[in-house]
Amino acid sequence: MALAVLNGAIGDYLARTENPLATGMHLVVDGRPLVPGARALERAFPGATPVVVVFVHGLMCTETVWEREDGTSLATDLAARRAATSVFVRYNSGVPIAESGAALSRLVGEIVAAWPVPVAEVALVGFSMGGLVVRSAFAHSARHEAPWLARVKRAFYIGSPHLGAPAERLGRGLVGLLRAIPDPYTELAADLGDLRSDGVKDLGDGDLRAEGSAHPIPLPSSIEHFLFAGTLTEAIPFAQHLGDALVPVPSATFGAWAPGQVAPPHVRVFPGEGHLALPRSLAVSAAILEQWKEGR
Amino acid sequence: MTTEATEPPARGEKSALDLVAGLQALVEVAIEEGAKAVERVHLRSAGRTFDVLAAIPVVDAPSAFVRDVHDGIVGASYRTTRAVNRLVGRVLRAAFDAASRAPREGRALEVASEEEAAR
Repeated sequence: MALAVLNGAIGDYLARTENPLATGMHLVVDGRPLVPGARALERAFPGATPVVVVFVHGLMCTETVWEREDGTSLATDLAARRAATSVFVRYNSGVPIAESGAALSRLVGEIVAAWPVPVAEVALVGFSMGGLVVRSAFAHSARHEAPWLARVKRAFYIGSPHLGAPAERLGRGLVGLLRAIPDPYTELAADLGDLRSDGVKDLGDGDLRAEGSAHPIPLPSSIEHFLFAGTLTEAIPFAQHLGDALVPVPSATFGAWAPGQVAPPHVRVFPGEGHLALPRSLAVSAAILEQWKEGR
Repeated sequence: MTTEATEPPARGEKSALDLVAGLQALVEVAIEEGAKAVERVHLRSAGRTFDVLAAIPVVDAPSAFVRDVHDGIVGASYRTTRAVNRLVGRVLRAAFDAASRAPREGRALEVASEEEAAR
């Protein structure tokens, strides 16, 4: 976990300097990395089903972010109710999101190619930054005509800042302010603030640009996209702008919902769910199961 | 999450020695860059006072001398800190290299003794 936090904070530097503390994008099974070869996948997933769900964690997290205290998770719910086999990825959340997206695209391609049974469907579930990594992976796979993209029918974004995170924009503004003051101490503080990783900086505007693509990159129309947002409380109107404390509701819903409006069918807002509670939430899990049934 | 993961060493898996070496590299850079940043702040802060003194006709000449001495001592102190840091870093890297080779050499000795025993 400490390594995940370090990667989120300065992972771009760790990757650039080839520091062994940098975490490359990889598949994780029971806390250990797994190269997705046919034999390894067969051994790791003896009951593999044709429906593969790829879970992508958020900034400074690992796959443990999905686990509930009782040992269950959204993955176990999907296995029991939708006969889906879940795989978890771990990655360096400090590198630019577009880089993580490209790595995820390649990894999912490897998983699908080596999966023990023919893959009928791939679904992706991203939490927070993970949702942006998923979107970026779609864009990368579309640009490179990756065959796995055709197997994706649905994607779920849980508390993902599609339109950016105000906390990072505030940090950016603060660093700019400190730098503008002609004082050695404030400049030092600005230098320290600027050490935050490219991944964190990308969160400010939800910037997923790569290879000259426009911002914001669109959601592929061939896939059903489900957007989930949390709010700390239902009672206070500004709580909807505050969202789950880190991601405002309009950002988590990619602008599909605003306070006072009725949420469209692919959008769900969960009152009383803070940011870190969302990936473990039973309500979110129930909504995903429901929307999976209603979807294609 | 499912069953056992296998086939080490897998992509992404790091030994404890790798992690310690990575941490050492990070701490070394933090000390190097941290010392440079603090030195800059130190010299600029002190420079404000010396700039004021330089504007006063009576003390401008002696304060310039004191400033030179001060800046020299400060520079030497931070350079020494960085030099010691780099030296410690080199020693530690050599130790990590030796430690990473040790198991392979140990295994080679084991194989050799097994072969001898077989003869």
